Amino acid sequence: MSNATERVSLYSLSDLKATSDDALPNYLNSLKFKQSHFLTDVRLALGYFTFAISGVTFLWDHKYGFAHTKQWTAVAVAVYFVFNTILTWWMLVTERGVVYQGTAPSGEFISIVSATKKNVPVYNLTITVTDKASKKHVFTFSKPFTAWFDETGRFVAVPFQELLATTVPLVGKCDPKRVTVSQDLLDATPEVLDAILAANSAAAVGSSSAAEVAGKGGKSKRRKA
Amino acid sequence: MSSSHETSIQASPSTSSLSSFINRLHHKSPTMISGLGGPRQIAASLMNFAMVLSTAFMMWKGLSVVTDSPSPIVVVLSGSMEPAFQRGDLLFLWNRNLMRETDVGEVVVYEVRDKDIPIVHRIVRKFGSGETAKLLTKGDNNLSDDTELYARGQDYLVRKDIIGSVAGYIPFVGYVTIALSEYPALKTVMLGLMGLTVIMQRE
Repeated sequence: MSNATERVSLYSLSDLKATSDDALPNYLNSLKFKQSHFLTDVRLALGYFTFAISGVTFLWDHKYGFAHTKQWTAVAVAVYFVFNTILTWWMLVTERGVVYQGTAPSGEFISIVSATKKNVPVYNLTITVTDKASKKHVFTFSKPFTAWFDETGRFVAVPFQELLATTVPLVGKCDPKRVTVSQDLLDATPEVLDAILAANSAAAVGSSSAAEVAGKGGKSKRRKA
Repeated sequence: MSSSHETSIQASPSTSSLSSFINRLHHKSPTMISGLGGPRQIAASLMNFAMVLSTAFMMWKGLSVVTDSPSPIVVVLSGSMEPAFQRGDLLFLWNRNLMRETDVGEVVVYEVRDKDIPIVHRIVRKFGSGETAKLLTKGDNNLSDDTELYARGQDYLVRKDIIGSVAGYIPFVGYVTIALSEYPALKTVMLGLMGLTVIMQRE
């Protein structure tokens, strides 16, 4: 399901989303982003602690019987449901749709939320970059899954990575070869442009991919499906 | 009188319906953070499964605490209370004397000293009052009262032998647990299926 070389059914929205979700950490971690598992770890800690409460209750009950453990059982049930509520809240509110959090090599924090609407084959990403001055920059993109799945259902990394690198300057800076230059980008972020230029001049001799980027100019060219 | 006439019942923490509810709750949850978190993903899947089981168990215990009964939902296993209750009826018990004492005419579930299986029968005689009142029970469909069913040397019940009065029932639903206890393999199958759905599904 998560393997990029595996084929998924193009008609299964959840498979498309899961494969795309899994591609995010693979890509960003390959750019030396340091993935943060804080949300997951808190969820696991909450979950297993909650489970432990019920486990202890079960053992008490099993050993001493209901009549002798009544008060403790009442307390345990209350505590259990408090923690279960916190866990549910954590999953539904704090963690909602978050598929990646991590720190860029340059120190910015990136958090990515993905979402799909039922029966709409469009991948919606909301990327929040918190810079070193704690200022938040939000980028969104909504693209149909056909942009990076070929007609056999295989995930194609390059266009997916291009989209990400082009949408988020922070990613573009880390992976300039994947940035497809548009006028907006040229206007918006000089530092990305610098990185692209640097990459291009470094690879100018004989590198086809750099030449391609330079040659594309206005619009990103999709591979043939 | 043969012991097959006792209306024995069985505790049923009806996990199946609860778990499917909780299942849905957890599957609506956000996609887990994946990628390099291989062990984390396994831990998260196991956690979902553990939460399904433990939530069902704690709901059961919560009901126990509220009703003050060690086994607040039971299934009728025999026909000794017909026509009031049939085999397979699901009974809801209440074990608190908030307004008045447990009295003649009430259908109660009791446990005989040193016997595991609780029995649901009606109170037909009461002598005295309070915790020490002497109670006699009888199945509506039985010819004689329950003195034969009580433990050796036990001629009557007292309040603390009773684990609840019947407060409500659903017919037939209990056949699921009868099937589960008569064919124990079904339990394994059900538990396995529950585990699989939690681990395999991803949205």
